Amino acid sequence: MHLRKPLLMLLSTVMLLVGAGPASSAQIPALEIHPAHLDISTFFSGRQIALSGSIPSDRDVVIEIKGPEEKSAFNMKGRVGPFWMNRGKVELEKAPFLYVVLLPGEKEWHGSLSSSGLGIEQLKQTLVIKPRSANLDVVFPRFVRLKQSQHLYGELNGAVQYSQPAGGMKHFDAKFYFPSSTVAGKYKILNRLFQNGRLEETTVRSFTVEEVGFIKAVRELAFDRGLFYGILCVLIALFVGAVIGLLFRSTEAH
Amino acid sequence: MKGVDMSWYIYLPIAHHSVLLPVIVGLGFLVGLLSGLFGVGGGFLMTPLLIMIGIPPTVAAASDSNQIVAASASGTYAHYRLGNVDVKMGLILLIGGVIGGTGGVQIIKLLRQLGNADFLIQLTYVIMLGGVGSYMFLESLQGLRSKEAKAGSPVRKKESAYARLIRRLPFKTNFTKSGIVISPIVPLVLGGFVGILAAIMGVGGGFIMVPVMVYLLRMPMHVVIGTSLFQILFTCINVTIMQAHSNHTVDFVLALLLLIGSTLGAQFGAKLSRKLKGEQLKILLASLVLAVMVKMLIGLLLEPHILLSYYGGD
Repeated sequence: MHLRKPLLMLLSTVMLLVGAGPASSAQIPALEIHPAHLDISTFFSGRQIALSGSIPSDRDVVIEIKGPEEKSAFNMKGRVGPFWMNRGKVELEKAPFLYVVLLPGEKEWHGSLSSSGLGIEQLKQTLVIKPRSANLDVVFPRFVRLKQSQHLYGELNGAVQYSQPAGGMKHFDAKFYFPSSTVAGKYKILNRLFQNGRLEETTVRSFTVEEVGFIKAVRELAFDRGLFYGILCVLIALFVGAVIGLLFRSTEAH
Repeated sequence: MKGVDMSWYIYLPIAHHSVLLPVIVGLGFLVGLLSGLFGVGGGFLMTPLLIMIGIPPTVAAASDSNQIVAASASGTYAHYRLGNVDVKMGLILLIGGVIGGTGGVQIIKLLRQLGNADFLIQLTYVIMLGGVGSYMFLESLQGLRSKEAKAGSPVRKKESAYARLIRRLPFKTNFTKSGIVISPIVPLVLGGFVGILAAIMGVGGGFIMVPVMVYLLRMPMHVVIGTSLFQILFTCINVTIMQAHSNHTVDFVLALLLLIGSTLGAQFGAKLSRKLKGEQLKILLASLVLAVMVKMLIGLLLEPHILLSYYGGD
């Protein structure tokens, strides 16, 4: 008889795991990422990644790509007399270097994103501005515009495409182009499942961007042995200058 | 977001940016051509161009210094063979430039403490470029016209206060290559003045040094070009090592691509400079200086597209 209580607890736990409403494993959107990570090598000029998976046919999927968090300093521009000039410096902390939301095209997503705490506008809540006296309401729209001009921030409508539903499920595909200014680091890809505009479930995948080969070697030399790197740069420049000079001299001699 | 053929792209490890290879080599060639033609480093032109294609300003300026080492070495060598480098004069100007540059860095620190240093730097740029460019342009135009008119007997000009002061200075030295006898105090002070301005404006100073040598030291134009390149070579070696050591902003890949183009351009420029007359060279350089000045002035007057820029940029 005294085995009954632990058995009941075990059964109830299993019931919770299997049958728990919205967290059901059948509804958690599995996400495939291709390629699984990104290498920045000598001829890197940005790279497209493909994201895909299957979800129940009555759900929508929204994909967030973000990271790594950074601290950046900016010049604020202002007008003095007839001239536009730098008027003060501000620092922003806890802003992701890249933030992109990939959206299905058929719906208007602004309301759903806001109520779920997603989207570019919501980043403002987590940002830390210095000096404290600076007005985030003024700085934030300028910051977003600067990032958008570099293709680092965006809410891309129609970036998620669905296949025809079959057997109660549909396949989704999305593509995103990591721009050439992408920095190495750990990024997060968040797969958000929505039903009737309400966020139901989220899965998080880590995505690594790293420098490799020659690019990695140059960066390590530049940052770890700066003086040696500087002298090497000068010597190579002098060598190339001299070689070209000699080549022209021999050309003239003929 | 993008769908271009990527085979011609190359990634810059310090700038964090990929660039189209022929564009960078072409830019290097253009600036090298100017370097060989006019004896200027070209930093005042190259750095804004690199910023325009998305290179961070601090990386653009430092990497440009590195590529100028190659272009000016190549140009100095070419001009030295042609007998256009006054080494003695170049060394004195260089010493003055280093002393002035050190002073200029202190002035910049003071300006930053007072606020609005960036604006003052840009305004100094506009005034200097406008003044130097306009004077050179008008003077050369007059020179060309008077030659064309073949005005009969030469008019003896009244000696200026500057000329009288120069004549009274001690330690007169013969600068054989330049064909002038002058006190070394003059190039030392003028070199110092250019060094101060170059440090404030963050450039090598070639475009100020050339007019100084032409109008204040009265050196012949072809010797001015070779001697200016000689001086720029040493200035840029110093800047490259300092920037790589202190700020890690020298992008070797960017500099290498630029210098492949610039060394070739410098050779063509040196050859071309022999075919053009001194007055023609001056007018061309003056036009270039004025064009950069107008571009900077427009930048100060027009509302920027985005009212925020990365710190350390423009």
